[in-house]
Amino acid sequence: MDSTIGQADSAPEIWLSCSHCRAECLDRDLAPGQFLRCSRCGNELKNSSGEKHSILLAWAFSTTALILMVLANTSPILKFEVVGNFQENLIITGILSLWEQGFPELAALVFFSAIAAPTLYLLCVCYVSATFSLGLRWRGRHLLFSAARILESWNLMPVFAIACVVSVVKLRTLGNVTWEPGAIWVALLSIFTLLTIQCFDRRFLLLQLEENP
Amino acid sequence: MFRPSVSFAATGGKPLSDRLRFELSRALVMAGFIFYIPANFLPVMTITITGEVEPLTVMGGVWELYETGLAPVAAIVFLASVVVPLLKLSIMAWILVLHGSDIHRQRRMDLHGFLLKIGTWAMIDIFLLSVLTAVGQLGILASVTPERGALFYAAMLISNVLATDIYKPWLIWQESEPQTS
Repeated sequence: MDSTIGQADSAPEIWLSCSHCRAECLDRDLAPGQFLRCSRCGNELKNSSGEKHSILLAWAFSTTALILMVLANTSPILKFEVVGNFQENLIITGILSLWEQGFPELAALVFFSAIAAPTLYLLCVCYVSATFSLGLRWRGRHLLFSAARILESWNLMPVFAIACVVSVVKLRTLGNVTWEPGAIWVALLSIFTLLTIQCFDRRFLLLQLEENP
Repeated sequence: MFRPSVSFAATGGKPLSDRLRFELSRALVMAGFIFYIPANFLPVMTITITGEVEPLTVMGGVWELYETGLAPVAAIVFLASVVVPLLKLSIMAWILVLHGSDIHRQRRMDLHGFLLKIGTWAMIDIFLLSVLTAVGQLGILASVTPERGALFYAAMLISNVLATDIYKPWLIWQESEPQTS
C-alpha cells in the first residue's frame, strides 16, 4: 500500500536524524567533496571529503599548540613599571594573586579556563587524532573524544590573548607597560588552538568510532 | 547511538530529560538576572595608584568616562559590559518563554546558536581582572585588588553559559504536546 510514494523503483530511503535540531533528513549518495546539510539548521550531517588529511593536520596543530602551551606558561607576558619598580606576570601569577586576595573561586575559574581546559583539550585531540592517523586501536579513544567535545567551548586561549591586549590599554594610563616574549607565545598559541578546532573533524571521527569501536 | 550528554555529571552519567533541561535552563536564567544587579553596582576591583584609592564599579566606570568627556569610549564600555550581558540573558529568557509554541522557531534557533558562539567571550572581563591583579602588586605605588562584584559577575556569566548550553536546539522544534522520552 505505497500509493503515496512515487518512486517505487529507487533504493530504500534512509532518513538521518540531525544531531543538532533532530530534524529528519533524506540521505543520499555524495560525490567526493560534497556535504549533506540539515535542511532546517544547516548542520553538517555527513561529508565525503579528505578527512584523513584534516585529521593529520589536527594532530600536527595540536602538537604544536602543546609545545607553545609550555612556552606560554613559562615566560612572562607583560611588564608593568611605575617609577623604577616593576612587576612581570605569567598566566599563573594572576591566578595565584586572585587566590591570595581571598578569591579562590575566581582563581579556580581562571585556572580551569586558561590553563587546565586548553591543555586537556589539546592532549585529547592530540591522542585521538594520532591514534586515528596511525590506525592504532588504543584504549580510551571514546572517552577522550567526548572529553574533547565538552572542553572545546571552554578552551579560552584566544579570549585570554584579547584580555592581555585590553589590560595593556588600561595600564597605559597608570604606568609603563611593555610586552614580554610570552605575549608572542600566547598569540601563537591562540592561533594554533583555533586551527586545531577547525581541523578536528568531529563528524568524521564520530562515524569512525561507530564503525569500529 | 554514541552521543553522551554534556551535563553528564549532574545525573551520574544519564542524559537529562527534555523537561529537566528546560527547567534547569529557566532556573539558571533567573539566577543570572539576580546576579546581574550586584555585578553592576558593587565594585569589581580597586585600583590604588600612588596612594589614591579608586574602587571601580562597572556603572561608575562608565559614568566617570562620560564625565571626563570620553563619551564614545563610555558608550563602548557601557555596551560591552552592561548592555550585552543583559541582552544575552533577555534573549535566552525570550527563547524559554516561547518554549513549546511554534512561533519564530527559526529565529529562536539562530539566536540560540549565536548565544552559544559568543557565550564564553564574557570571560574576557575575568581574565582582565586576573592579568591586572598579577601586575598590580607594587605595594603603595600601584596595586589592583579584586572586589566582591567580580564574584557576582562570574556567577552571572557562568549561569548564562550553562543555561544556553543545557537548552538544546531540538527542544525548540518539539511539538507542544509533551512527548515522553
